[in-house]
Amino acid sequence: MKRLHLFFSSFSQNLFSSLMLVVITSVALISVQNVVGQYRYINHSKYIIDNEYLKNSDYFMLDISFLPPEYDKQLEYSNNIRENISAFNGVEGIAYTQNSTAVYRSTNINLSMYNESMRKAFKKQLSEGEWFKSQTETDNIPNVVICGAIFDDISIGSDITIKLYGNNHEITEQIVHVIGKIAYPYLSADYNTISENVSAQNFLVQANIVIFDDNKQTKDLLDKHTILSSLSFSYFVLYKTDCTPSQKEKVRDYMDSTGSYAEYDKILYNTEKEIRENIVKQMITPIFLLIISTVLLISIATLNTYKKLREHTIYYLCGCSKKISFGYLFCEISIITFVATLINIIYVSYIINLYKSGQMGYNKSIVDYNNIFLSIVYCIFTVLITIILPFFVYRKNTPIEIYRRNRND
Amino acid sequence: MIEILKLNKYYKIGNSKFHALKDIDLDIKDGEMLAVTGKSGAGKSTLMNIIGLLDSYDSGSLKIDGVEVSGLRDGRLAKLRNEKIGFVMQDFSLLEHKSVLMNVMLPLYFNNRYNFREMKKLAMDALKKVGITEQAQKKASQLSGGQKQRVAVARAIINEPSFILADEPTGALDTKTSAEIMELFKNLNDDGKTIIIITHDMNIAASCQRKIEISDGGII
Repeated sequence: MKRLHLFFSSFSQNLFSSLMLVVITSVALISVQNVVGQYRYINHSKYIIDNEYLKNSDYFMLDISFLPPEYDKQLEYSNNIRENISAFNGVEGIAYTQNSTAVYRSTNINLSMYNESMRKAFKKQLSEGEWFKSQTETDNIPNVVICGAIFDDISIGSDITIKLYGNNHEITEQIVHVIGKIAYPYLSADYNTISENVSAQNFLVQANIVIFDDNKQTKDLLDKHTILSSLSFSYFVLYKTDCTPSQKEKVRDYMDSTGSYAEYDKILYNTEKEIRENIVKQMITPIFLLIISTVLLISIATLNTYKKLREHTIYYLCGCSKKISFGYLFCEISIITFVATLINIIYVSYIINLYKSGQMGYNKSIVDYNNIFLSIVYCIFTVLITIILPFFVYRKNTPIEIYRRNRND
Repeated sequence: MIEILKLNKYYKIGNSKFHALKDIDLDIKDGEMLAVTGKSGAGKSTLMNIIGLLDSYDSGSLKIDGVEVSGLRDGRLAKLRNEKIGFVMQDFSLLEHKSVLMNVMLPLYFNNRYNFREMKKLAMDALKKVGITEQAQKKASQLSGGQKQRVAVARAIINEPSFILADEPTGALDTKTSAEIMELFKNLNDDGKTIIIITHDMNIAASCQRKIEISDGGII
């Protein structure tokens, strides 16, 4: 206790500069975490999108200005276009989804129906179990694939109960059988982006989702108990491997006449460009801030060591060993990094908890315990650097040296 | 008791060695008040550093209260320094920005014998002995030279050490204040404290019971 008192009594002399440095380092670390989170998100999205089925595909975006105002007619119009596209020679399938919402453990979740093309296009998502290959649905218990932090504790083979909301707000409890889980970081397919510059990250969204097979049995079941949106304005058009350039050209002409499309290569190009131009550019400021704070930390550590040499010579006279004396110096220097890292860990843990509890929506960024690992690596690296310099200063300026020098002065 | 036998100390200067202390034999009994005199560079400060366990020696023997200090590790030496020796330096060696009380308590931070409340009480007792209890809450930087040296003496005696090692304790003080500090040392000596004063001031040396002179690294 008295050692702590002595430590804080000595540390209080540098309180203001230390607090400033803690603030700068914390801000720098948090900024780096955010950019790293974004980088991880886009990189993971690229990994999911980069697969053999999508390599031979185009992303179609319906021109919604052509849509009639009534829902039924919108449905009819969009379904017609989808059917027309799939009827072209050379088209293997349309990877599209139908969506709804439900409640699981008092948290709103999404429901999605994946057709076969969809499962092929996003097959890399699955981490455990399988897609809907073996249809063994009986007694109205549909097989599902789950995705999201809320399902972390659910294992393959379990049955879970979700609440479905019907047209008249009536609630129906539906038991579903889990046959697969989407891999962390729980990115699920999303087709909400309509843009020429669409990139990999636009196709994925972090959310809690229960995925059903797109078959008549599940469709009837869901139609009965919830409002299933069958409107699909955007989707991937998968081509057959033997699709000729002229066949592809015909499909693209049609897509041009009803909306727009993005070629797969363009999507990958946009993704690379986004990483290169946005993420790397965003990274510069936090990295610069982190370098500045680290250099400041090293400078302050060295200056502090010189400043405290006389004080520690007095400690030495009073019976403090060199080891303990250096221990005090070590603590005074590294406390800044430790506090900044601790703030960062608390921040990351808080964000993770918000994500997990569903209080915070994912925002195109992956923040998890790997980010804490990053903070700890930074902490160890900085502490090592900030200790090496004072160590040499202290070794060259032993208490007896300082005492001799003072006497000669 | 301090027993020194055939003690030698060398300093390395470039490629050559400087023989700073030559075959020093010295016994200092408990309760003595000893003055170590000598010209500048004679080796008296080197001897003080060695007796004070601040510096090492190359050969010979040094025993403090029967404990041979040669070969002891830094931690053990620090413990001996803390428990057996009280230092009073010419430059006072105080933490200028800290309170007088904290300065006096400093040696007690490095042993586990006392809690914080006991430390404060002992510090106030020590300050009472040197006659500056009313300055306890002031910062060391606010004191006069004489007062600072009294604080240094209070710090030196707080731990009830075996002996007090004073290096030119009056070197930075005027004549009147020097006399007061010497009176303080005499009082402590009368109470049974062993006091070793390193000085080049013959008047100070004359006020001690015993005097040794060092010249060219040897006792004459």
